[in-house]
Formats: sequence, C-alpha cells, structure tokens
Amino acid sequence: MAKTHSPRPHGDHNPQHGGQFFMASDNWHHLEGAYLPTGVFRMYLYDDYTKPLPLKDVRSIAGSVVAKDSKTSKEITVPLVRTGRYLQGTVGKLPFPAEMYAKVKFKADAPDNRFDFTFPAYSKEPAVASGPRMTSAPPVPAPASSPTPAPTVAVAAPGGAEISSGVDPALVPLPIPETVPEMLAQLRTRTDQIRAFIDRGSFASIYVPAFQAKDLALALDEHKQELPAERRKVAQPAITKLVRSAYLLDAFGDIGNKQQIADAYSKFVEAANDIQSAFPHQP
Amino acid sequence: MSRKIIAARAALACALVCGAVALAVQRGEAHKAVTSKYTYNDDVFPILRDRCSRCHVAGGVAPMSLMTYDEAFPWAESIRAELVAAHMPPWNAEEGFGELKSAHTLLPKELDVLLTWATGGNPRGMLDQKLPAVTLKNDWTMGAPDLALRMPAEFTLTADKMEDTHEFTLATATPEARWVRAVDLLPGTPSIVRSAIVFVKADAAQDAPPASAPAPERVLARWLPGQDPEPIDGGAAFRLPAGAQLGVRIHYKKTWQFEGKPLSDRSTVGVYFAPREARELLMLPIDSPSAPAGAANQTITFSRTMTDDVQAVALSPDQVPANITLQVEAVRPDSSRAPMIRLNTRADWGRRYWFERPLTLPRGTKVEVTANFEDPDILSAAFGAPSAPAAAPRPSALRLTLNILAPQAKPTAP
Repeated sequence: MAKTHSPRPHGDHNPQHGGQFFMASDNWHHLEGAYLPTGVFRMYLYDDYTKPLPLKDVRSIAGSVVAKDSKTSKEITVPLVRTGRYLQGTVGKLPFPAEMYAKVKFKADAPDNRFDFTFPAYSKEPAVASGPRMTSAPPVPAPASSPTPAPTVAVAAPGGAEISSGVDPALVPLPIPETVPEMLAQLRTRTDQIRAFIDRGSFASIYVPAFQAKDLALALDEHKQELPAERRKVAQPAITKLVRSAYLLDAFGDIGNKQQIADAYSKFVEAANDIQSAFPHQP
Repeated sequence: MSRKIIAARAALACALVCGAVALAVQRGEAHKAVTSKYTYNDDVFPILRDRCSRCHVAGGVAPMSLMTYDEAFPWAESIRAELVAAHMPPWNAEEGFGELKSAHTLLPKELDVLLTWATGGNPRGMLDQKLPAVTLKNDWTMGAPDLALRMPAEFTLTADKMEDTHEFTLATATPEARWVRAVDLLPGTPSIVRSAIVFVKADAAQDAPPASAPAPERVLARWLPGQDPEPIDGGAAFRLPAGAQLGVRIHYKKTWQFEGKPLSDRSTVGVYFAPREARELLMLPIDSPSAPAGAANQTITFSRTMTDDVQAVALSPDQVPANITLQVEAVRPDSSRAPMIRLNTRADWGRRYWFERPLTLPRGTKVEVTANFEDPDILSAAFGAPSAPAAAPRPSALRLTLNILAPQAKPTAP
C-alpha cells in the first residue's frame, strides 16, 4: 500500500477541505485556503503535523484577503474574521480562475506572510472527512494498490513521449536521457512546465519538474569536461545556480507567495538559458 | 518449573513487550522519513570536512561544529536554508560573472548532496562506521611569516558583550621600506575572531579615530576566517614605508555557546615580504555621489574613468551597506563591456576579491558600478524570521576600491 502521509512534521501537505494548502515561512504554521460557492474565502489553520490549530492559537492570528473586483478591476481587501477554528471573509463571486491573496500575521509583531491562491473552481469538501488524502494532483502516480485509485500512467519513454492518462506529464518523473541534446530538450520542457504551474497557481506541484530539471542539470554536469574551457566557465556556475534555484522553487512552492516563486523562477530560467548556451545541441 | 524460572521468564517477556512498545512509539512519533540516498557518513561528511571544517569545527568561529553526525543533523534545516540562500559557503560573488581567484563555492553535485541529505531525513549511514576526527587547524597557511607581530596586549570580550571591535597598533620597526606580498592573521582564540582589517597607519597626528573606517588606500589585508591569504603574483606588492606602524582592527564576536562568558584573545599578524623590488599596488577609490536613504528597489549607478592605461588586480567593497547587489563592469572606450564582479553584500563578510588575472583597462575605460538596494536576502524572504542582525545605518555614500598596478615607467629615448 502506498503511503501518502506519515505522522511527522511536514509529512502531510495535503489539503483537508478541498482547498489549496501552503506552509508559512516560519516553517511551523500551515494553512489551507478554500473558496466556497457562497463567495466566501475560508482559511483553515494547522500546525506542522497538519493538526488543526487550537482555538487559543487561532485567536492570535490576523489577516485579510485581497481579491480583484470583477466589475471595477480594483483590488478589494476583506478582513478575515474568526469563525470557530477558521478565519473567513466574503470576497463575492469571481470569474474563474479566481485569483486572490491572503496577508496573514501569525503574531502581532510579525511581518505579513503573503499566500497567493488561484482557484480553478469552487472548493469542495472531500467525501471522506477524516484521514489523509491524495492531493488533487499527485506528484508521483500511486500504484494500483493505493486506497485512492489513481489514474494509470503509461511508463514514459525517454525523451518525453506522450503520457497515456489524465495525469499531467509535468508530474511524471522520466528517466534521464543518455545524450546531451536529449537532456537539453527535456530541460526545456521542464522549464516550460514550471512556468505553466506558476501561471495556474499550482505552486505545490512545482517541485516535481524543478527537481527533474535539477537532475538533468546534474547529468549535464557530468558532460562538462567535453566542453571547451570557455564554455565550461559558463556551464558550471549555471548548473550550480539551477540546482539552487530548484530547491528555492521547492521552498517557495510550499510557502505559496507568487512573487517569490516568480523571482526564483527567473533565476532558474537564467541558469537554464546559460546551460542551453554552453552545451552543443547537436551530437 | 521453579518459581525463579517463571519469574525470570515473566520479567524477560515484560522487558521485550516494553521494548517493542518503546520502539513502536519511537518509529511512529519521532522518526523522520528518510528519502535521501546520501548518508552523512559516506557522502555528507567528506564535503563538510573539505569545505566547511575551517570554521564549523569544535573551537572554530562558527556557532556549531558539523564534523560529527550528532553535531550536524540538528542543524539540517539551517544547512538547507543557508545553502539555498547562497549564504554558505560565505562567498558573496556570483559565479560566472567575472573571473575571481580562490572562489569558496560548492560544486553542483556537492550542493545537491548536502541539500538532499538536509531535506531527506538526514540518514547517518552505517552505525559502526568510524569517521576520522576533525580538529581545529589554526596555523599559518603560507608557512611561517617573515615578520610576526603579536598584538601588544590581550583583548577581553567581557561577559556582558556579544561582540566588539578593537584596534591595535603594531610597530614594524623595519629600517627601510619593504614590499609586502601577503598579510595573514593567526587568531589567539579562533572562536571569537570574526574578521580583521590590517592597514598602514599614517603618522599618529593624522590617525582617524577608531570608530571610523581606515582609509582604503592603506588597507593591506581584509582577513576572514577560513580564507587563506592571497599572495600577490606578477611582481606586484604593497609598499610598506620604513618604520611604518600597522593598524589592526579586529571584530570580535561570540557565538551563543559563549554567551555570558568572558573570552580573551591575543592574535598575531604575519607579514610576507616580496623577495625583490616590486611593482606597487595602488588603490583607486570609486565613490558614489550619495546613497539612497530609504526604501528598497532603488538602483544607483556611478563610475570612475581611468586616466591612464592600468591593470586592475582586485576590488573590495569598502564602504557599502549589507544586503545590496553590486555589479561592476568595465566599459572600454570602444563601448565593449567586461564583467568584473557581481555580489550581494553581507554584514561581516567584507573581503577583497582578486581577479583571476589582471584586467587591462585602457585609458578612458569607465569602471561602472550599479548598486541595487532591493533586499537580496533570500533567507529572510524565504524562510520568515529575519536571519540577519539589524542593518547598520547606510553610509551616506558608497565606496569600492580598485587595486591597480602602478603604471610602468615609459621607456626613455636612448
């Protein structure tokens, strides 16, 4: 049976209420934003084990949600009000994908944490109310024995062949190709896939193509001795930068601040472009 | 069956059950899932030993040793954050922009090994595997200096202070001018000697008060822990006037382990002379008109134009605030641009950066500095709590110093 969760800190970053799940920059608080059919934005708060925060802790958290008014295109800021163990505010019915961001203070004297949400549809409570669930987009396809039947994914051919299932190809790890041009081609694909995840607000999934790209860059690193000295000088720092940027995208993806993710992505792209320019594209 | 045997079996059964329960609890609650294929013993330790042990060792200046598994694994999350933010190793220049000597960086594979281990459950490896003990090395890395000058007195960082700066004066007593190819510092108490500047003092009457920075044109060395002195090659050297006095400004800083305890230090400066007369290394300050006073996202550009053909060998950001991005390029008279350095400044890590080879800057070349005040402190931005100490007030103007070779005398007509 495939485990999607184990009781450890950060062992479960799955949304519990059909929303979008992020970790705060203090590495301890976690939250889930849900956009309800009533036009309400609701924020559930958790600890590092994804246990709901006790009421006394929820009381000390303040925040607001900012959405763009669909009629006037102006930003509206709605304070989040505590209701039971969650915070919520009414932003109204927005066209999909509905974009909004929350500004949250976990302590009175702490800086705001920003969390960017992009809702493709209204959030729906899952049918089973308890226990961990798969994310809406599982990073690695679960085997057939998984409690939640996962779509079958054909084993991908090297070089990024078509994937015969409903799973996003960006979430499917591929073997590292054997030739440099193939590696470069796959690196370009992964770079584009990250961009697509950022554009549609699927921040929690970014790490899959980012780490695949990192592994491709490390594979290319083993070929850098084949390059002339001048190109090696470009390749090595670029590969280091890409490795670091991939981990940065992973960290920012968990946190869910779109601007930080975009900044990390621009570093990633710089590095990827330098790698592309350093290595020959023809065998 | 005797009562004794029954009692012994019952005790054994009880012990086994208790043990099993204890193990189960440990597995369920405390054990972090291991996803890293790299272990401390086999993969991480060799990197930490080779790249980090100058500071991250018992008695070193870093706040923690990383030289055993038990010392390293509690810091895994910090290791991740520091590596991702490019704060460690403390080499603030961006690789690939300009060519610099002795870059203290990690290879891509090393970076990946450390990050995979730090984020992947921190596995130890074979429990019975013995790793070599790593001890603090505190010695002259260039061998015994030609002139060793010990501080005239001990300095004590008192129990109530976490950091302090003290300036010492050392008499060189050299009867004639000498050429200096390198300067090093040997800390007396390495755990508190955080950085040092060694400079030639002007005569006593002109000396600046200790609170201000020494004039950059007299700085011989900027010392940092874990950084070897860079011997100047190519027949160049600093000129040390006869009977000169050296100023040594040492920044002392305690780590949390020594909070509330007094610690004393008596360091030694080592001077290495060039064997023969050398081409003098001169300092050329590049000053900004003024630095923006306030907010982030401000960029200023300033430059200095070379009035002679010169060769640049090093550059140091002497008077710059922490957490800005500096980019320096040479814009030659034909408008071609040569990258010199791009770096993010950080408090406590000011150094002189030596170019891989001298850069020829023809007369009319503009050395252009772009300073961006956008906060590049990714660690703070990414991981919340401000990691850096409160920023010192910004200087009213920025100053970088270019080290150039003195122009060679033009051949005279026969």
